[in-house]
Amino acid sequence: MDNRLIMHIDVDAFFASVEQLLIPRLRGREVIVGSGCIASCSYEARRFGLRAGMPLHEARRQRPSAVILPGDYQIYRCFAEQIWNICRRYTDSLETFLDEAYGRIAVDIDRYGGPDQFGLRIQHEVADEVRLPVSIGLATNRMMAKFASSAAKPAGVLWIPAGIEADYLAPLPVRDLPGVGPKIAARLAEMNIATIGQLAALPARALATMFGRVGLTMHDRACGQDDQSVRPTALPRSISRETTFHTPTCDRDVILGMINYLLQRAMRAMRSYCLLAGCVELSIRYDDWKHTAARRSLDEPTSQDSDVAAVVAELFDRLHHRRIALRHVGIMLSGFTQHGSRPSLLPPARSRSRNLQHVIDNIRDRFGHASVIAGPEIDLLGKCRQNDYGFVLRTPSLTK
Amino acid sequence: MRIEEISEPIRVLADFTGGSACPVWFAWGGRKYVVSAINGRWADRSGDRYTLHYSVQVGDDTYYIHFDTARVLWWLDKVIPDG
Repeated sequence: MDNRLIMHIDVDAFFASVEQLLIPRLRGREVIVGSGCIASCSYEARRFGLRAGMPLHEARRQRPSAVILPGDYQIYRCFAEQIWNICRRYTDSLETFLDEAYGRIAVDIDRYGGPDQFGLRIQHEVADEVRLPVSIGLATNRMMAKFASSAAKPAGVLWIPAGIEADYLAPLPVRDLPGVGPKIAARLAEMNIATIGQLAALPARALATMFGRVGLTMHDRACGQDDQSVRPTALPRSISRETTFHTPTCDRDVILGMINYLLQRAMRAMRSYCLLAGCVELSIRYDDWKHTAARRSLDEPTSQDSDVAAVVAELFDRLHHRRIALRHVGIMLSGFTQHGSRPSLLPPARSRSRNLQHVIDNIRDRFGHASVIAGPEIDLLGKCRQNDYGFVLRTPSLTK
Repeated sequence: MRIEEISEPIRVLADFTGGSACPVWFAWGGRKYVVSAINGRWADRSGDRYTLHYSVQVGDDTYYIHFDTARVLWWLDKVIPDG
């Protein structure tokens, strides 16, 4: 058994595929999911040059016949979980993201007829039970598994056997290598290095001299080596929640209510990892698409909504000066420390508010987030539609 | 494409053979709608609540319905009529 075999599974055109599954008349049609810009589009739409990230007005102009849907993140999350449950039957460690996952294979692949057949089996199980198309890559490490699944798209399976990683990567453009951004690619282009193979041929020391530690990592990756493990409980470096208003608004109560709602969701997600926030960033986008953001370090790391909410209110006053409606707001928490990693000599302060926070979290864990409306969120009542999960956002509020 | 949000309780006849619920027909607004196909199903948890969601086909129209296991109630969420 090759106990280092890593699988990367990617749901093809995930959001659009779910919509096509649930609404039969969309099958075979150009489907776009997104608000403001394309979050996902069907392969029928991709044939005409539509891509994730493209502004919707541009997509509409190019393909007026395309069906545009706002999407429902809650539904997509449920479908993703069904797929990850299938993967868990065969893996001992699974790191999941919104539409992709890495898994370390825990079964004897040979029993299934080898990696290719194993990948096909998982693909068939997903097709039978969830009825969504997935692409699967198998290799000896995460990076190569991701390369394999990307090459297998759509709805394919590709195994890159051990020992041929560098040969596989050699002809690919250097820009495809993880960690090679536009700046590094430009510097490499000046050295006439266009392919990953040419990068791998350089001495590691030369790359280290040019790019520091990043250069060494780049060299390893160009040779097909990647020592990142599959981390099922990886702690996030940041947690963000953002949304676009159903209609751009100048209503300060609604704006602050939504910011607080997003903040509470982000803080609750953060507390589930037992983390304290050290930094908060607020971003806003006006109706004319002008975007502005500000961040501030907190006086001390905290898990209390009220501590961060006070800072966010200050940031909002600092940022929001123009008399133009807002279309988008976002919150990002970062600078995390773990609970207990910074012992305090002082007695615990604000224990009553901490207890209250704990009780609210427990109620929400049991009855759903919408069971408690707290703080300025109350101004959204009657103005924003609600379901069991909270206020219905126009755009999904994605973390991963 | 038109999407009509409904959010109303409905009466449903479901077949539980094989351990999963399959809606056979539902009654809404005094009319009976016979399910011709189940397009997709998914289960969702919010806190302790567990809901089973379905996209079902009635003729050319698509209906999203769900079963709230805590309240033992079926709901019609939305309709995507043909055309």
